[in-house]
Amino acid sequence: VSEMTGSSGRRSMTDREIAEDLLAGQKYLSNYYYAPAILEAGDPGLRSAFQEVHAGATTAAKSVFDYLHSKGWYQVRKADDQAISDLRNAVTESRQVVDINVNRGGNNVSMNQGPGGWTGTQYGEGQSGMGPSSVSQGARWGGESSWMHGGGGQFQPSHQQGNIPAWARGGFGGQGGFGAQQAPGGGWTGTQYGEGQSGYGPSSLGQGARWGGEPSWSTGFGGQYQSMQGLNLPSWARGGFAQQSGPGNAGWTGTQAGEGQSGFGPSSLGQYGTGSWQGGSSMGRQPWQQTGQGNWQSQ
Amino acid sequence: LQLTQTEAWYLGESIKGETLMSQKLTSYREMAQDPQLKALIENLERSSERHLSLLSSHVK
Repeated sequence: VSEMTGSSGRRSMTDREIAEDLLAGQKYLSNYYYAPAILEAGDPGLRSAFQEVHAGATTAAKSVFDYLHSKGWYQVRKADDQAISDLRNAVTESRQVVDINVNRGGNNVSMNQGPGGWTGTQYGEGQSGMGPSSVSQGARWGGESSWMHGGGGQFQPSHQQGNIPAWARGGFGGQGGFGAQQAPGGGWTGTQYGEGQSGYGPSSLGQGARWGGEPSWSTGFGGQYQSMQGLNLPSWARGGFAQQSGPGNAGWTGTQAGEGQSGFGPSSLGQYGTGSWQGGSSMGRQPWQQTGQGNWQSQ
Repeated sequence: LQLTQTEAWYLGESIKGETLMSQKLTSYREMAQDPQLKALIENLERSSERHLSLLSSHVK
């Protein structure tokens, strides 16, 4: 990519770079701030506000995606035959499980309450006590969540484990469970180093996940995003998104260097031509990306 | 109603994040060459301003 220089003489960005960064930013706001905020907000008015801004961010992301797609800068792949076949099998198995339970005349798939009833949280996570979402507050969301096996109730069918399809037996985040699937073609797996369990979003990341360092979208693209003259970033912004400490001691530290691809989600950048923001990307590395460790720096 | 610690944290981070987005949008609007992209950015700027106003209204 040839360098572009604006009238002010400063390094500029191509339209594609701009749109891609905006998409990344909107996804990040939506996934890692607004979505968990909705789940954690107890005040109805505040929750409604978060829902509204979340809807706005997803709408914005869609409009940016449409722009990129119209330019041929965002390629999407159709699911292959095997993926569709697997999906149909999963639906069939699901229906079998549900039908069996329904035919027994009861709601046999239930959250069994512990002696103290549903607590929603264990081990101090879940400041709001709003339920599983609070797992994000320190629960080890990889393997088993506290709400799956602690006093908060085990998720299992009342009668037969045997009716549970194999892929479901590991539970969320467990072996073979949700979050442990590998993307087709060895692509996006959602997690690296066991953290992330991406696809669930920040709730999961904040917690067991060591979400420290820098988001991939900032390292791969805008990571070393140094402010261009005139951006005049406030001090809190120089560290980029997600480097603030969380509400609890465990904190929310951002992302581990290089992992995650978070902020884009499975749908995005992995599917651009080269599948990478770095190296082979047609965008290349820009001068303002090449220093520092993901910090916003004023030049 | 007094905010909880968690609510206050998410609210603060959301405001900071949206402010950063707003700053980017302003900068990107000037950089963009494609009129279609410029128009899109202008819409996003208005949306971002609404979000900031809404979120900030919950900080008393």
